Amino acid sequence: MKLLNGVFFITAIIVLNSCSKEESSTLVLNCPQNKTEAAFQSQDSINLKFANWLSSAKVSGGCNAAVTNDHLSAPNAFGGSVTVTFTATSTCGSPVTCTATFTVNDDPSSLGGIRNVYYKNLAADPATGYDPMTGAPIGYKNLFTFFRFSDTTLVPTTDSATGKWDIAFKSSTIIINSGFSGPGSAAAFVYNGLFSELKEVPQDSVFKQDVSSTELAIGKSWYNYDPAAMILTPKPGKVFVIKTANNKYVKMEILSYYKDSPASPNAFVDQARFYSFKYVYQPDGSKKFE
Amino acid sequence: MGYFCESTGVNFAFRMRILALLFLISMHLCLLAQKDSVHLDEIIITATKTQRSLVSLPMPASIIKNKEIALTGTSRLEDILAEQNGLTVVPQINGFGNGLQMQGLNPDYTMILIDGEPLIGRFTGNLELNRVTLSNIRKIEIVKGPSSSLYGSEALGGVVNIITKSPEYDKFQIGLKYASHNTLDASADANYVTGKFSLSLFGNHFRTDGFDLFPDIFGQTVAPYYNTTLQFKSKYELNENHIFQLSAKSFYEFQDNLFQVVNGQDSIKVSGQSRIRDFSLNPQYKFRLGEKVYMNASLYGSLYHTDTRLLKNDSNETYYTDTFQQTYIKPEIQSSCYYLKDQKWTAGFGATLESVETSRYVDGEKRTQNTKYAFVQHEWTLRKQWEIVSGLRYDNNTIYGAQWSPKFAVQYSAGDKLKLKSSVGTGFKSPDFRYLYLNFKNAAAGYYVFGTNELKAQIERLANEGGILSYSYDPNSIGKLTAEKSFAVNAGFQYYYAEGSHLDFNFFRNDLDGLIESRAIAITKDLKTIYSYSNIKRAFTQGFEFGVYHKFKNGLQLELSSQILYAKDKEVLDQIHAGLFFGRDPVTQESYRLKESDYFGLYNRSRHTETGKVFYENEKHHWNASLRVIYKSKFGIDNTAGSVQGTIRPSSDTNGNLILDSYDQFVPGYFLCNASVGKTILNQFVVQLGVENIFDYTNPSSIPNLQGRIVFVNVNYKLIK
Repeated sequence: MKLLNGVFFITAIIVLNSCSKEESSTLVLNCPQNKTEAAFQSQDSINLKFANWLSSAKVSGGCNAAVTNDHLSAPNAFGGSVTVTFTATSTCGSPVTCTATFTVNDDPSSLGGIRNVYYKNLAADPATGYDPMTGAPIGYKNLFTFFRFSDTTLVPTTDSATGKWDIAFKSSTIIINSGFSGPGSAAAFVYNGLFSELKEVPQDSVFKQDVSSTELAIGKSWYNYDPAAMILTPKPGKVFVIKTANNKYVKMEILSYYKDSPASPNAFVDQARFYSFKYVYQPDGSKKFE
Repeated sequence: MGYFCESTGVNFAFRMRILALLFLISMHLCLLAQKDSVHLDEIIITATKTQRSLVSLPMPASIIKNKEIALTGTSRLEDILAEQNGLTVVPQINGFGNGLQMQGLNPDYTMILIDGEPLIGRFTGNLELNRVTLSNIRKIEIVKGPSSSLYGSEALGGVVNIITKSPEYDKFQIGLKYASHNTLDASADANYVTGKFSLSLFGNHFRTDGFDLFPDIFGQTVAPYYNTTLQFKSKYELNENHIFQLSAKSFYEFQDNLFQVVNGQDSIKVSGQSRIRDFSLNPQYKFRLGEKVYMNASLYGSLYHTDTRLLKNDSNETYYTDTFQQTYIKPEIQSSCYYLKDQKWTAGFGATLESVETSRYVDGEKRTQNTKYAFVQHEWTLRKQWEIVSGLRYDNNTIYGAQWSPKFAVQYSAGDKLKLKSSVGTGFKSPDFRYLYLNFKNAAAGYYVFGTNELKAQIERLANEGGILSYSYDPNSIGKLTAEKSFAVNAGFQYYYAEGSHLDFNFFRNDLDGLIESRAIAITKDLKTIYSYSNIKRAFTQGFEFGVYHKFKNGLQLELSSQILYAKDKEVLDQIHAGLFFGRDPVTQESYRLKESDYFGLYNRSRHTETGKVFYENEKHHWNASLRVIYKSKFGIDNTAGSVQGTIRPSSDTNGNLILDSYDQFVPGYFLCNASVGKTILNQFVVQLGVENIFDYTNPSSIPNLQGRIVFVNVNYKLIK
């Protein structure tokens, strides 16, 4: 909430009119107010709101005054912020500038109790170095990274034998806190469909637990691997439906396996084993996601 | 031929007896038969294994005549096939040749014959088309649609039969072609005919510096190579009823490799030689009983051997070695005869004995499979308007068991000009040895591929060594492989509107079942994926071909043709219909549902292929010219396409669902233009100049078999006694 509570950067710089012949007035530029949008709108909707926000800059006074901005594109619908500089120009007198920030919230837990989260770059045992001779990534620690949905928190490895975590990642393997993998009672299944269309957990859902290393509730069912390009791609339309260790429901979708979610990852450039994913957490124990 | 008397079981013996009975009945009835009228137009032999006029053939077929080959100046099989309507030469990325796609079916499913006998030596399903020289070709017959009813396995999509010249009169001919990339193609052909005996000797030598589409990268796209073809054909006619033939062919290719292997940030420079040897022998005995019964006994044997050794340049350590040897032996007896008026029976039986011995299989041991087969075919001209061909073949393979392949084709002549034709039939392909026995390890990319027969043992071994992390498919349920099958319908017409001119239309649909695909089975603890094979895919290809072949009076000939092709995976379509197929926008990472209209179809196939050709011959001044334009619309390439000179071939799939849909990155459509002009001097010399790919179109990473512009000069000298 840093940005919501932050200072509004409305800057109005008043410049004394230097036009002499006609009745002159001061060039005034009113930046739009800093704005924060809730997460998990569509990108189109964010783009539209951003465009409206840009056009709400007001200029008055001066001669033939016009306002321009440095035309940044809208932030990602999953979260991010953009600071735009607006410039007012006048045929009489110097230009005036102001800046304002447009934010898409990535942690709007205040919204009706349901938690919408876009989580970036969860490190799932990435390489810690490169072989100086071959350039191959090396130095894997062979450890899972544990995660809790309710407060979007990484859980230390020392707590792996507790019920404090819900899901864990190591390279392309995903386990949940149940059965073979942990002491918890988590359960999950992979739903075929669109994340946005899954509005509640279907009645006939069959939740599974991790039974053995080869029989995992989620396991490796969620990706395609291209051995030629050596690229792992999360399958579209695979939504994990998870009942957490504390009996709450989550829907989750993996978006990228590479650091900073490049649009077309390159195995030799982009770092693998960095998960970006989105999830919706329903804290009231119901099966509804909205 | 005691071999044929062996039977693998009662069932087989029983079926063979029925077929033998049919054979005998048809032979008997033949003796009562009368002579058929002889057609005086183009003869095609491949479609029915009998001499038959192309006009009366109820299946879609075409002939590339020697004259067309000569006018274009092309010298290797790939070059002439790539200019034919409905045929596409698709690149194979690892540099082991380019395959032929017919009616949208993969190269695995088209049988390539030389003088009626199969060319062997497929690498991952493809036959290297540059192995075949065009210098001694009389014609190439192309039959589209399944022909398993005559040829058995492999002839699922169609058959291309390359018919070499037979000695007809004394002659001596030499040809020399010199082209870009220091390419030389030289051939000599000597024919000798005396009374009952005729003989031809043919030799061809081809060499090229290869070409390089990535000059900044060490090594070439295709390394320099040379090859030599020798062919011997002889014929002895004891009298008009007994003819003995013997032909032999030998091929040798040598390639000097030098390239770089990129693995992560590392690169290894590698060099070494690869060799291909190919030898075949074919004695035949033709027997005629009166005017009514013709018999042909033939024995075909072929040996194909490759051997590759690559060393690391800096250390001289072995980087890669590979040997592969395939043998193929096929005895066959075939008989044709006329039954009553306007009917012809053909029947035959035989066997194929195949073996492969290669370092690619687990213990390098020799693997064999044998097939016994018999076929019958009935050709019937009914009331001069109907042409009906029906056929049935039975194959029994020692690994894959029995297979029946029926075919039925009918043509109706509405007047002299219009021929309506349609055919239905089934085709099959017995899986290659590799699907059973392959033992392939790609350490760099981190995966294993095992044939289905090896899978269990190899998984056990890996489980003992390092451990299996997880199974994505139960290896016990991978099961036995069966033959891949197709059911096809062809329907169309030909309209002969003027002398030498016609319109041609054919609709085709091939329904393919049990196509073999690789399938991920398990992942090892060190994160290597284990693949094997399974009959999982169902697909179809359908579309139509249309052509106008117009002959002007002044020596000008125009051909315009096009193919429209839809080839789709049925499983994918089912999932799209169920609303369960998705894509992901690579930038916003938002998933969306795919509509049926979004699905483009299988990779490596253009929706539209257009061909335009103009041939001109000036008889008075003895010169000729040709201009050929080929257009292929956009297509996609899949993610198993590998790399070209260490450059990863970008997969067309950008939205993470592995299929080709409208959101993906297509390889753009392109035109190729080829032209040639030739002149005959003193009746004996032909000088020809030509340019292929005039506009120098290339797309190195997506179409690595497309070299740039090639200029050539061709000189031919012919001495006739």
